[in-house]
Amino acid sequence: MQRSEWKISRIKPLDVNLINILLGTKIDNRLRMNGFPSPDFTRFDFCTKTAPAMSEEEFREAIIEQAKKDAAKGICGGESAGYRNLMKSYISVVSPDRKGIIAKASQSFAGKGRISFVEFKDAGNNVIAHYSQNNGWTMVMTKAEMARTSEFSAIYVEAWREAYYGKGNTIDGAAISSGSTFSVSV
Amino acid sequence: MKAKRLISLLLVMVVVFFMTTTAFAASSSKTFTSSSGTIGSMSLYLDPGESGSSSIATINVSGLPADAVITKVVADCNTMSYSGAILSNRLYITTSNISGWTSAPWGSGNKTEISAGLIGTLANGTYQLYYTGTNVSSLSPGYKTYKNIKLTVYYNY
Repeated sequence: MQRSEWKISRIKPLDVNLINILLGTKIDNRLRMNGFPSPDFTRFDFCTKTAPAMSEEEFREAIIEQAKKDAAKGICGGESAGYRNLMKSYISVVSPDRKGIIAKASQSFAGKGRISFVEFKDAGNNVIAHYSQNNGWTMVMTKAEMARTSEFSAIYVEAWREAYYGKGNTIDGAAISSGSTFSVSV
Repeated sequence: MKAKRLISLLLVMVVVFFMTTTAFAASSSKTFTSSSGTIGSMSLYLDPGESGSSSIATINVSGLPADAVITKVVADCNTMSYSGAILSNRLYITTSNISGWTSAPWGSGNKTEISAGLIGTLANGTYQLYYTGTNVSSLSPGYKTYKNIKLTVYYNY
């Protein structure tokens, strides 16, 4: 048996030291198939840095309009496709360049064996993504993305409540009005 | 007399104003439990010295007010089966209302509280959880499965 065939048939664990200083990736040292699949950045929960689709004021108006539409339909939040598309667009403005980071890492890992678990970090040593054989890709939010998510939710929920409860809709059977009425006797 | 009437009127207006606004500041919590099957469990198998992430558990949160927003969630993962020495490092969570995952260090007593990334977001939805862990043994493989996860959602509405 030639040496190359011997190496393949023995399937020795691959001794890999790939703690990537730039990307902070980790890799286990088992030899399997090559690399990992590319993530699908069209998914709602996969955000990568994207140029703003509109100004901040236009975003705010769009969120309010979406909230009104959803309230009219009696739906709220992630069950609305419009909500998901708008949130992703809003958050992606502050997202790290996950697409670029992961693409670069793919080149580093080519030919090194099948990956069982990888943790991707940004320049600040914060985890921004995981890849695992168990789950595939998961994108971990940065602090900027979390703050942006809170902003989006605050605008949306306030507008949704105004639109929904302003029509005299109820919560748990109790009528809630957006205005206040009272009678005074002095 | 006119001044007294004016003060009374102002007092009533203040009281009614706060009564109206508190209608949107109620707080509550509810606990949801994942199934004991694969879909409700976080399972992780690791060789000696390895780190990795578990499978994803899914929990449906529903029946809260439509506009309920999260103040925090607490995941109680005290139903487990294991062998070996896997140390649970962090718990990751997402909901169908946010576009990414957030996390917190694994909590003491297997109860992990997470608010970052969730606070202020809508509470009803599909929640997913997984944990990262390390097999701290250099000799033996290990596994650890958490099931029947109790997720308590604290919310305002």
